Amino acid sequence: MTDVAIASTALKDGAAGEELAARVRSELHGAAPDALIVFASSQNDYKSLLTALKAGSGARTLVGCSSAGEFTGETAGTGLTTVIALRASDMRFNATIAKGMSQDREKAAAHLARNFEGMESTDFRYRTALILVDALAGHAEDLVDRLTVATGGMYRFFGGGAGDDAKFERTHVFMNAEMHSDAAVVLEVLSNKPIGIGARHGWTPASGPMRVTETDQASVLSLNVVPAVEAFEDHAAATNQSFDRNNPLPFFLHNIVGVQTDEGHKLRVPLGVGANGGIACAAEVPTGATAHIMSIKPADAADAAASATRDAMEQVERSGHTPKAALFFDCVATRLRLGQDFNNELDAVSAELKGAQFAGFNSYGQIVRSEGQFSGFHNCTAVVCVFPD
Amino acid sequence: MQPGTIGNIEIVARLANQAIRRDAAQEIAKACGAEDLVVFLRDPEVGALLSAPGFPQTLPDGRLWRAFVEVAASEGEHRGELPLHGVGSNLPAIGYASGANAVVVMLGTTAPNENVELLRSMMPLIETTLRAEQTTALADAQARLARDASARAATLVQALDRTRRQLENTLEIARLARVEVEAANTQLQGQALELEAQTEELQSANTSLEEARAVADSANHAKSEFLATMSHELRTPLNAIGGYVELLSMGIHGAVNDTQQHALGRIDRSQRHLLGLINNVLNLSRIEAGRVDYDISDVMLATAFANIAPMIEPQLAAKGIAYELCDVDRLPRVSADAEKLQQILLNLLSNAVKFTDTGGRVWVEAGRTIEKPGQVFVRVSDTGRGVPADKLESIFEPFTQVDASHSRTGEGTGLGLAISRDLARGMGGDIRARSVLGGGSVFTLTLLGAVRLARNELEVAGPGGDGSESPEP
Repeated sequence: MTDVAIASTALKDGAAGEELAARVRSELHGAAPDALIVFASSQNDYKSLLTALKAGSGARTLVGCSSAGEFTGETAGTGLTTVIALRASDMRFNATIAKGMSQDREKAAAHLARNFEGMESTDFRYRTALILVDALAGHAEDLVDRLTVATGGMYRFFGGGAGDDAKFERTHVFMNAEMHSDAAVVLEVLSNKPIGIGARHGWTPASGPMRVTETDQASVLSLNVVPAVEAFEDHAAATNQSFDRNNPLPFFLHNIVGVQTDEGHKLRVPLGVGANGGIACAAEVPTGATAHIMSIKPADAADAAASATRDAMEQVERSGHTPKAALFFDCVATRLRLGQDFNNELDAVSAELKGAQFAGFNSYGQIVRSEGQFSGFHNCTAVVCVFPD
Repeated sequence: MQPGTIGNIEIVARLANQAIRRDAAQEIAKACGAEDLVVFLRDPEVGALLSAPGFPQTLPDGRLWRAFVEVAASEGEHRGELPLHGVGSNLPAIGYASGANAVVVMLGTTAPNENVELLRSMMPLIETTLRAEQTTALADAQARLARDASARAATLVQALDRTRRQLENTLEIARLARVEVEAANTQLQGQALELEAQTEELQSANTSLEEARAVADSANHAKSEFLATMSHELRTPLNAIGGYVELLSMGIHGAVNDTQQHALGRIDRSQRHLLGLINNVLNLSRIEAGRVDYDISDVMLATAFANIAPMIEPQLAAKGIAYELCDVDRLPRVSADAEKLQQILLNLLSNAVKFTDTGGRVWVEAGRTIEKPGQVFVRVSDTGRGVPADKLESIFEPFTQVDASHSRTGEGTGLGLAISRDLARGMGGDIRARSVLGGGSVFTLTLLGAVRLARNELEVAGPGGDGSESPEP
């Protein structure tokens, strides 16, 4: 039996925390949640928000992150704070945090895995973990890879990178009443009912293959030994799009980098053009990789989100369980590209959930590692996690 | 190395070493009268000519470079100007192709010396060398991936071992559970076999009982046949005895004195009693032998009571017993054999009178039962001595009486109720009794109602005329 409370507010700081805590307690009929997940706009003073939220709700565990757009099945926008509270008689929640991920991912992953209660327990059949990372600290993909190894593939991961209202300056993750940068928080979820996870993107290659010939961390300096910006300019010309080096974001929102892998294209969102003609991306692009410039049709994002939701729902329903609530993450770029039409994507998710409530946020990168996959950090990908009743 | 002195192998050797390739390229370029050179190889996966490792991987004004090398690749040689990082203006450039997949771009001269021909002649070898390096680099990358994969696999193996141990524990738990289930199953199978044996025994016993019952039925039938025959044979001489006693009493065979008359009276009473007894035995045996025919028709209870009134009223009067019969106009009709119905009613009323002391009361109620709308009841109640609860069933057994003194006085044979109930059942009805010792008895005869009801039969008739009916007569 899973009880869920979802709430959203435009209030800020401590007032937001008090308001949300009261609504959570009310919806849970006075009971304290086992786990409280919060997504908060960077307009908040996180400390006062989290302190009020934790104290008011009585939540045993609180995790969350700063965000770049917050939504529920009822509301969507920016500058909001959204929470989802879970109280389940047959699930176990356990939160842990790893700091200094930019320095030593192996150590961070080992620390997280050591604190996972499901590593040695046979009481639960399904092991799932929500991972929220400070994406601007970089190396999120490496952390997820190492966590996959450290947990021996026993866990399925989902989550996203913290945001800061598309300012790309500083992002935070939350653990109880504290906020942290250069860190990752993980909410371990152990259950004997399946938890559904789905991920889809509607992006397809729009250019020919290109070799990533030079990179500098998350910046692609050249493609086919040509400055990366020229490759984008050529693609813009070939596809009758306008590209302005001084204002490239409108173009980048519709044209992103797809790194070819055995598991399909891993998406990387370009964020800006460097003086050297390089393209700064939201996550690492490996030198020597084969890449395409990817595009998407307006309706495909909603279709992809709906498909991801169906996948997650099917995992819950095929074993005879009823979906109760869901978490949904999608890229901030998707919201910026679609504008008001992002609501269509939320509507598509809501329709597929068949009445189950959901909450989520626009993230800087999405995490999903499910069965048959190894690495799991993506951009511009809709990620859905469905909790059973 | 001096210009004009480079040798074939030296060119290849110096360019083959990636660590010094950039410097070597510039030295070779100078030997050829140029400032710099870049080697391009076609990437088979992306289809583009890309500068080889060790050369700049990001070329300024890349479009110009890309167009330049592609023209050189297709035409074999191409001249123009190209930019280079760190150089203010474009440099003169000459591209030399080795087939379509390798190009050397000489920068900083429009007229290289004769060494360039040596360089061009070496280009297939240079291409092969760099391709080998490319392959080696690819192999190195694969090896790195393999090492990474190996490291991951080692960790995963540890996790798999952990999972295996958990699985082994789970399997052991499952094995123990299975052993318990198997033990329970064995026990169940034993119980099933035992049950099967018991079932066979029961079936065998049942068969024996069936056979015994058949034998008993047969013997009972033979007994009834015997009794019926014997009763008939006994009645003939008894009737003769009665006839001759009557003749003697009438003085047909001579005068009879008082003493003789008294004796004849006793003979006559004994003969009548014996004849009644034999008649009852005959009736019972005929019933049990299935030799009784029922002439079923709609019979008015009022008529039946009227017909037996002359026989019962003297008994009532003799003992001063009050008798109440319900409103005869409202008595229902029944589906019965009229003669046998009268026999039953007479028996019930006679018993009531017989066991009720002087000054007592006997009354009759009748009507349709509530639970079974097609059924009629006749309830004969008395204020007599009653029947003990443990005798209520046995009084319907043949030759059974509650008080044996009645037999001694010759007032009963113990067959009346047995015959009455058998007759009632033969007509689709029954007789039941309830009684309180010392508080009177109630005998209830049930019969099927007449097929068609008269209007006045819709209400229950009773002595009080209140139309009520006891739910359990």
